[in-house]
Amino acid sequence: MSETAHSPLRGQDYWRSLQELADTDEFRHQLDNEFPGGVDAPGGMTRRRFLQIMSASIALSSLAGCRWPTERIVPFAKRPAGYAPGTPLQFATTFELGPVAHAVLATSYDGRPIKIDGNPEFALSGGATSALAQASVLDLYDPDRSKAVISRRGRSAAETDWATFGEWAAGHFGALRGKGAGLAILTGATSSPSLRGLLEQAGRAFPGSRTYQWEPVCRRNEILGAKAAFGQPARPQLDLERAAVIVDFDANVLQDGATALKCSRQFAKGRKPDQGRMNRLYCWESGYSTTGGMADHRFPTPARDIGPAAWALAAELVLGEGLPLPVGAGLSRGDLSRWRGHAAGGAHLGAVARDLMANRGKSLLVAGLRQPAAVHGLVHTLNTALGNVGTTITFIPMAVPDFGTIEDLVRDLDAGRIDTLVILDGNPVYTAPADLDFPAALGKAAHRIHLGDKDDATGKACTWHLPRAHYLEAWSDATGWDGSYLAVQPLIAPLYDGHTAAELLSLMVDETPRTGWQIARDTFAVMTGGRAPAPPQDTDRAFEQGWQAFVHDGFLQGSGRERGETLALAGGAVAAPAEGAELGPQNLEIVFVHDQSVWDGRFADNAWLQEMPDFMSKLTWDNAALIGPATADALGLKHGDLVELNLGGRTVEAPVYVQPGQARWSVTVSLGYGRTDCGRVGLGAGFDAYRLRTFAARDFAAGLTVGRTGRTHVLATTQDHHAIDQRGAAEVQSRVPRLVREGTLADYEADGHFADHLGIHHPPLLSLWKEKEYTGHKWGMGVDLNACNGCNACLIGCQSENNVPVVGKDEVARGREMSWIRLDRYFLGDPEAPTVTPQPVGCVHCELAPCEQVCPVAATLHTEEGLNAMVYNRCVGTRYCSNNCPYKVRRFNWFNNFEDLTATQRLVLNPDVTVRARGVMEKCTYCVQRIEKARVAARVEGRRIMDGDITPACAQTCPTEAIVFGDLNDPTSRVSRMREDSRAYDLLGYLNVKPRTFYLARLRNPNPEIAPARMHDGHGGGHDQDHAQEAGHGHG
Amino acid sequence: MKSPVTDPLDNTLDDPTRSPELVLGNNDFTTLTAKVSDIVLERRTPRAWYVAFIATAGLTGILFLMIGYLFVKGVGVWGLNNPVGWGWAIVNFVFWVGIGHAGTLISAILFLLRQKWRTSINRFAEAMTIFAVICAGIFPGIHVGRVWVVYWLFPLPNYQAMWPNFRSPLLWDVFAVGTYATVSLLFWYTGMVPDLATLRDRARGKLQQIIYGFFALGWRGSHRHWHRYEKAYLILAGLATPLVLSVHSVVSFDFATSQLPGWHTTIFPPYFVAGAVFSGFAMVGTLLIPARQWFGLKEFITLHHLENMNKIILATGSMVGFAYATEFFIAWYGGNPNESFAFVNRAFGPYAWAYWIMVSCNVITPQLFWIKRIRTSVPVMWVLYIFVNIGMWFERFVITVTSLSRDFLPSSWAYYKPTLVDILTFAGSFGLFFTLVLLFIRFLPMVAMAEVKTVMPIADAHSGERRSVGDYHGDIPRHARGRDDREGGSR
Repeated sequence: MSETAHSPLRGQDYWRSLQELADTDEFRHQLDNEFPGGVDAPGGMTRRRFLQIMSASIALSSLAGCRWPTERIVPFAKRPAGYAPGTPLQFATTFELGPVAHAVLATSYDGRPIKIDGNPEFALSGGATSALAQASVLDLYDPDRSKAVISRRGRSAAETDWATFGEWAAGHFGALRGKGAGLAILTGATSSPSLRGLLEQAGRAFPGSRTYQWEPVCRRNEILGAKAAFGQPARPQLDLERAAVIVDFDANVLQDGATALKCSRQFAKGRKPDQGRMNRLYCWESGYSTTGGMADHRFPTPARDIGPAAWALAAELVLGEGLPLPVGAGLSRGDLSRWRGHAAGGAHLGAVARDLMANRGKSLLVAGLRQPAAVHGLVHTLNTALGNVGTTITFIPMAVPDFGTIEDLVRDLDAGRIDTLVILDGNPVYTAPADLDFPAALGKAAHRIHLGDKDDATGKACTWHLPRAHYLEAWSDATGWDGSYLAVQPLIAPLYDGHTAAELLSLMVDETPRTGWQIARDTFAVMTGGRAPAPPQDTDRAFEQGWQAFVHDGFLQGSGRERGETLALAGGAVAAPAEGAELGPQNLEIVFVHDQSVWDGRFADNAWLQEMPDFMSKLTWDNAALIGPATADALGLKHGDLVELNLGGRTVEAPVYVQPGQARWSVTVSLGYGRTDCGRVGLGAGFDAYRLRTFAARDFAAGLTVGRTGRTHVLATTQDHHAIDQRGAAEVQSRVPRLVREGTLADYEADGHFADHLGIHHPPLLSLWKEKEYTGHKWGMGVDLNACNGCNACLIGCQSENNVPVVGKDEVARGREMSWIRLDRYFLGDPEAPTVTPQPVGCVHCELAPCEQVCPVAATLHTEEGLNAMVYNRCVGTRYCSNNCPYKVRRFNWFNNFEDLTATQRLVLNPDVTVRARGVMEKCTYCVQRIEKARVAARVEGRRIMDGDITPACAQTCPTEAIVFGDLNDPTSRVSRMREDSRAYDLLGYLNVKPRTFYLARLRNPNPEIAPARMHDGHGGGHDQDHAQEAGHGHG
Repeated sequence: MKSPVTDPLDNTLDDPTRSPELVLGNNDFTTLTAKVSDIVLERRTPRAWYVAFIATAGLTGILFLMIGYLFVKGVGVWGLNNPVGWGWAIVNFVFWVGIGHAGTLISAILFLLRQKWRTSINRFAEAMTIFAVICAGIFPGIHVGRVWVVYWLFPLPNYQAMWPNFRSPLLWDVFAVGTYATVSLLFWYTGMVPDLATLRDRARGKLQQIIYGFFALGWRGSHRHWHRYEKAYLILAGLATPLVLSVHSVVSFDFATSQLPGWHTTIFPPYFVAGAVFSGFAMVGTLLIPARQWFGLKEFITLHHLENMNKIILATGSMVGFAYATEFFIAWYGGNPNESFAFVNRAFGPYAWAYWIMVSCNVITPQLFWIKRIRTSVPVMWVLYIFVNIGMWFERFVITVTSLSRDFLPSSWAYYKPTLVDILTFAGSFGLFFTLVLLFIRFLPMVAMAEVKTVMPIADAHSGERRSVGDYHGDIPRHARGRDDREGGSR
């Protein structure tokens, strides 16, 4: 990499070599030969040239998609139709996470993608998207992405280019063609039909070769679970909206489910008591998940006891409640008898079973991706028995390709059967199970080719490292969980000359290597009933129309199935779970979970995700061994202690995080941290739990022991920044019921306004000043605590939209995180099994804002529409506003937070939002830039802004539609109607600051057999008058 | 402790039949003038002065180094965080402003109340006021995020016609502290003019003569000069008197007008003023005791003076203690759960250590001054002054930080810790303060000679047997009491 010039205008990060800078003939020649029929590569890049490419890619894309193959790029003398500089364009594409594909819309500003949103047309997202998908755009601009082909021989590494590799590959794979012995391909779990097709093609071209698959976090159990029950692998399709009773066995269905976004939305829709719907969720899980947080009854259970718990429930249903076992059930009443009353299920199984029996056909049992396939098999059997298959759960059968596992791969490598290994995805040297010793095995292949976005541990262990294109730079395709056929299209030319896995395979197997575009078109031709190859561009009008519609929509219309099939049980025996030695201080359970921030480690360099607090632990920049309070006490461990985790002789040092609600004797560790082979962002964050993970026990294992090291580790959390004293903890417990107001369904039915009674009693509130009347728009926001499950998507949505800076672990540990919206979560009750309620808090835009009164320079003030505006260039930074803000939502720029960003990293910034300077205060603006944009659009069209024209980033991305924004002066707006809801209340309303953001109280639906139906036993009555006075406006 | 009978410098015997003498040791106007002005003009600067000066100047250097670092990097070099937006900088500001109060109280209020004993210590106390206000003024200036636009806090005309926000207590601060600094400086300087003329007249070096002469404003000691001088002094005293009450009241508004539990209390203005006087007297005493010791001023700054100061410390300290109790009572009686928690948290929460340091130093320490033996023992009182200084710094810390660290939403609660930069900046401000004090001692008359002469026994026409000591004949006109005709017109 050349680091010569540092003018951002010349984009020093885009050059690949000094030759490129020099732009010599030799280099041009190389460039032309690099990839025959090549993808346009950014050449010796001056600013002008860069803009040309950027503009050209937009120009060419503005019809349907972008980055059409082109031989020459010319600057436009005339602006192409449909494109105005400075206006954002949105393109449909697809974000893939392992085997799960999310259709998204990417927003592009002048050729640079800056934001990812859900594709509203796509049934599985409905416009929402996950935090990971949204943050993926940041990876595109990661300055530590690999930028050149690297050829390694022994200890020496040389930067070279694709042309050199292409030459070598032509010779090497040419020689292998038709034979293929000694060739192995390692792929991740991909859903791309193109890639699948090419892998099959490779199998035909190299008959002696074998394909292996390794995905550290996979959904194999789910698919094979269907096979266990129904005799064929299938993707389960859940319909939570129809389910009145849901039992979640370690599934975290609202966050980790394959269709988590859809499930979240449907679950929230199933909890609208004003519409007569209120489902009930039971949850057995070891760690505290967001789904556990939404559960009406949560039973903390070690992961290994969840299978037994499911069997105990089955026994209770069949033997206790007389549920007939369906035809084809792989188990008998006799099999169940020994599980009846099993301790793992807990004391309330009878009540759960009765609840399920009462809701046959509208209940749903679901097992998680860490539970063995047999547990899934049992759950499917029970779903069939309860009549749920066909209503709340259906299946889409799928073919599971016969790929070898990583264990097979290591065996074949060790046996010397593999000479050439092509790694298409991932970082197996880091992620492979610890017992396989993959790095040693890898060295036994003579030719090792790694395609990856980083020259990571795997890249460094290979003879060739090839830069992989980010999905926003690539043509590809994917398959949605509902079977839909999805398009992946680039928004920008590859910044660092990356290529896709499909292109690499094409280089190996095709006579004339195809570009990603050609590959995707060829697959499209096949998928739409034609034949590959696809007709050349603009030769077949019908094909082009279909292709353009596909790329425009992001998916093939009609390809996704709204409902799957009803499968019949096949009668295969469902294996009963094995039970091991009793868990205890010397035999702890360890549960390996993917991380909600870095997933399997692939997002380790994603600063947004590293700084995104885990919902339950609020931990940033680290993972930890999550241990329950009682277990920690028994082991003599404190929060932040550095311990040695020992599992079967393998050890790793990890900090202890005492997590309320964690199952006894169960320790949860998340994967993906402790990387030493990543870029500057992820380096030094967390510990590497892969070092304990064996192939056989990828999900959980018993036999863990914990040894003290006597050292401690600083854990940076965004809530409970420091250990809390007892008096403080008691105060929190006493305040929480006022802050996050909760009641039960029975409370709500007895008194819809129950939330009003939970506030502080106070005399009528008076204002110091004559209050302003808002006659025009009056913006406000409602947050339904009954819907919010704490998925974190709004955090990243806001960060991406509003250029919210990342500050790093030290600063977070100091309490200086910058997030404009935070997800407060409060635990209530027994620390071993507490309830939790999330509460998203951004600036509430008080009408009588305390911040405004104290600012000496009037840098924060009210707009005519009641927004609490922050004038950055007037702010001198006294921080008085923040001190006086009762919600503490204001964020101060303690340093210049953008100082260290490279020119590439700056490309992700949203040009509609000011990048804040050092020393100024900032906070949520209700996405004022979107309000203004809607105002302009409305004015151009000569109309008033209508409800729904404006959606702040947080509301846009919320899968549960918990956040609603709009005009409180418009009685028909959604937010006005929400304000009229009897559950509406103001947070800290008694301060008379008149917040514009209000909350709807959370409702729980306990099973009266298990817990009291009412949380609040009425309110004495007789002083409703007081509440009316207190209310002042709205509900006080 | 020495017996009052045997120690000629002990004038603390309470004799209701007569006022204690304010100048001891058979001094007359000549010896007074000589003893005070020789410190500046004749005596060799003690080596200890140089040692002290190097030390304090070094600390001052650290202060400016830290400020430079702060300016380059940003406010983040301090330990502040999200709930705790104000930390040591504001604590130090309030602390230093409070220190200044003793000077103004001594020079203005005690002047108006005709407390003659003030004359020996008022110069020193006023100097300390100026220096403390200088130290105080630094902090609000540097604590803002964008120091380069800090002038926006002043109502300066600008092309946008953009005014500051007159509702903001910070703006009131700007005016209050600005006025206070201006009036204090004028008051101090005006009072010093006759003494500067004395130095001018006694100076032997040309440069000294020119400089003192310049600042003496052509003082010749004429009756007209004296007349104008006394009128001006009286007016300034009148102006400064309300400032003693207003400055710290306004500073307390920074806290009291906010709605933060623990800040939002109406007791703050009187409580802050009492605390300020309390801390100010302690600081005056802290400096005065070594000064009178080393520069032989025990005859002018007598034990009686110190005892009087201790009585004021006792009175104001009791007020402060009473305020602490009242706050707790109201927190309970007011029934506001947030406020009651704020106070319980202060006393028993994570900052309990700071709270109990504050209570021990500020409530228990002054009560010891009920005992005369303690009140009149120089080493003991000096130690107690140090405790009061510590306690009063902690009072500001407790108010500022504990309230912020735990406010309404527990999700935002956090603990605040200072960084090394915070600590060095505070230490540096002491360096600046002591540097200024040392320069003052070295170059300006530490005792207001002209004023002390008016309260010397010899200046009293009815002082009987002492009359033979001086050269006085006949009554002294009231407006020129104590004027020494032999001294070239200046007293």
